[in-house]
Amino acid sequence: MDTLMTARKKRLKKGAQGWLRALPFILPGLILVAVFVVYPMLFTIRISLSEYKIVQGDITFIGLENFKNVLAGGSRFWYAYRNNFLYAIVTVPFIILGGMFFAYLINNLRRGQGIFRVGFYLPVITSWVIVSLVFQYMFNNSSRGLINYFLVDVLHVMDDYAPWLLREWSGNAAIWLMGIWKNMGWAMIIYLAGLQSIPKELYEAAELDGAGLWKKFVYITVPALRPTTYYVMVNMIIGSFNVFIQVMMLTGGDPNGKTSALQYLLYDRAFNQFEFGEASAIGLISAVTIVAITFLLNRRLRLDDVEKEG
Amino acid sequence: MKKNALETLALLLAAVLVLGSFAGCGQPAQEPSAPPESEAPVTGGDDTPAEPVTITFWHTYSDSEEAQLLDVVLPLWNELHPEITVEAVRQDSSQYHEMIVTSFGTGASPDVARVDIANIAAYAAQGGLVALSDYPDFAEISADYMDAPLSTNLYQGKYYGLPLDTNCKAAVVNMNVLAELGLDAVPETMEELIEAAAGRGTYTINVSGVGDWDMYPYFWLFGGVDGSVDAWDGINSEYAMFFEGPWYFGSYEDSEAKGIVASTIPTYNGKSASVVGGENVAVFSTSEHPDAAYEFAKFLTSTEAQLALLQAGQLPILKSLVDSDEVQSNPVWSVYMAQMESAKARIPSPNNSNIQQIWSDMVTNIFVSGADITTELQNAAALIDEQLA
Repeated sequence: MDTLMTARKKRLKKGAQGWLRALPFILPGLILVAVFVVYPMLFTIRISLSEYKIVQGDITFIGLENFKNVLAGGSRFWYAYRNNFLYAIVTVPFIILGGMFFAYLINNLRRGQGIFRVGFYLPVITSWVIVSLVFQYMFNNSSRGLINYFLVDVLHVMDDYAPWLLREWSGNAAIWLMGIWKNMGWAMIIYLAGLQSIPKELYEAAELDGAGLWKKFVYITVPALRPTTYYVMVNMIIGSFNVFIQVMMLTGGDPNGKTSALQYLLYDRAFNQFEFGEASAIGLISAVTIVAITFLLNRRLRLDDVEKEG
Repeated sequence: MKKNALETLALLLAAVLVLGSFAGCGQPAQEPSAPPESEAPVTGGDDTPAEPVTITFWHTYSDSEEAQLLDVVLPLWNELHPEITVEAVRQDSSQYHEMIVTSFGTGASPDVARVDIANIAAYAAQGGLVALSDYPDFAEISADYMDAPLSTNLYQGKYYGLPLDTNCKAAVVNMNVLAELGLDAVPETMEELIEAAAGRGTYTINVSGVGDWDMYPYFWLFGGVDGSVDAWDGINSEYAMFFEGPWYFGSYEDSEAKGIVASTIPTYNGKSASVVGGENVAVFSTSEHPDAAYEFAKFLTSTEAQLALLQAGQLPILKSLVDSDEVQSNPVWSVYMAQMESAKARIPSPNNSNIQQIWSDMVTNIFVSGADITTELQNAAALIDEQLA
């Protein structure tokens, strides 16, 4: 009995000593996380439950009033919430399939891999604002817009110029298209890295069995890339809840907030309406949603199994 | 021994890292709250500060306007008030409103700033601005300002800024298209234009957007127009007329050569109408030297400063300058100053952005979705009334 106690004590002491020794090394990181992540997060929770007067710095507790206002205050929130899900549902499959497909093609090139890799990655490092301006030009409401020009003046498919960015579905489509175009290159780079880890022998064996490029892709590449796909998917789905610049630059939520997204709504509440409490509430709602989705994905796809397989 | 020395070294390095991170995050947080040393506290409340002070002035002037400010206006100020140094800071105009709102939260607001007229009421409602009408000389100086620009500073019975520059929408007219319609001069009345354009088969007048600023002139004039195409582009060939601010005429000679001229908006039922734009200058409530800041704001509305800024295209807000040679001799400025007479200010309200949203939703519904005009207008009116209540 006694020896057991002392052994435990010893272990505790040793553990504490280890922590003390490690502390100076992790302290900088801890402090930075505390100041720039934990504190703002707690403060956001506090503001979401309060009425925040920004100039005076007065924070008055009002309970769940802000959440009530956001959830019951008209359709704008629900349109924005819906659009975030739609964005994820529409863009993520395209990004995953496109990224995987192009990575596979590029990986099988004998020459010019570098050029294509740079070419596909270029959209990722291009500024969101500049890309938005280009998309704005393409979808412009008048004859100045590339799409209107082609459809009306070149192909004569339509009689009149369409205000693409002022309509619910064409405005959303522009936002999705931009997300797909901009993120596919990122997925491609990740998949290229994933492809390197697939043993060459598998392909050689398949070739001996008479499998062509397509069969090799479907039966070897796609299954072997499952862990990579999971990683890309989680990242892109979380990213879907951060859609902001496209919305701000392309549609501004028009018409009537039907192309809005949560982050844009948050920005609008905070900066245009000075409703910092409601803005924080929207931020928290999106945070909770992201955590819930990641949790569900984890359960459904059984991340552990996936990693073992990979 | 050796192991110990290594451990000490590692600890030392870690300590440096910790200190570094403290210094790194400490500085930006301190900057806003601690005033620079040059800003020594001023003794005496209402008197002009005797000790030298420095105030910060935020603006969004363009290159040529900023040059005029730095080369002409500020030297004038320095002569008059050598004891008050004005530090002019040019901010990015696209993020200006966000900058100011953020500065409210961090306490890093400027002392005095040029502010869009549409934002004064909202900032005042947040408690961010000083009520300038509380100064005893306000009544006297405000008598010199034109009514519409001055009215944009009003919030709950007090004025929270001084008008700084103004503009409004006037007609941008394509004389070539008018000639096609059989008109050789800009028609006096909308009735004439409508009659001439009736058989043309395409849109003749165009709007620049669905927002309140773009639509109010039409709404106030007759409440109904056609068009969905980009106005700035279309005026070159397609349309006879659209309404825009004086900035449309970057170079009047170039525009005139293309047959595009400025004109007051033709009357409808005998009345013209337009909407007031422009900027005010406001003093921030966090300022340590509000009196010095107010002094500078007043100076910016003086005849000398207004004339200097007019050279860079900033239309003056002084009644006395409307008929001055400087304004009248310019083909664009004279038209816009004449249009100012029938220009109305948007109702100053802290809920301005809500009202703008209701308005543009309503216009979008009508033009893009083809909703019933009467119902939409009635709905919007009810919603806007709520915001104003």
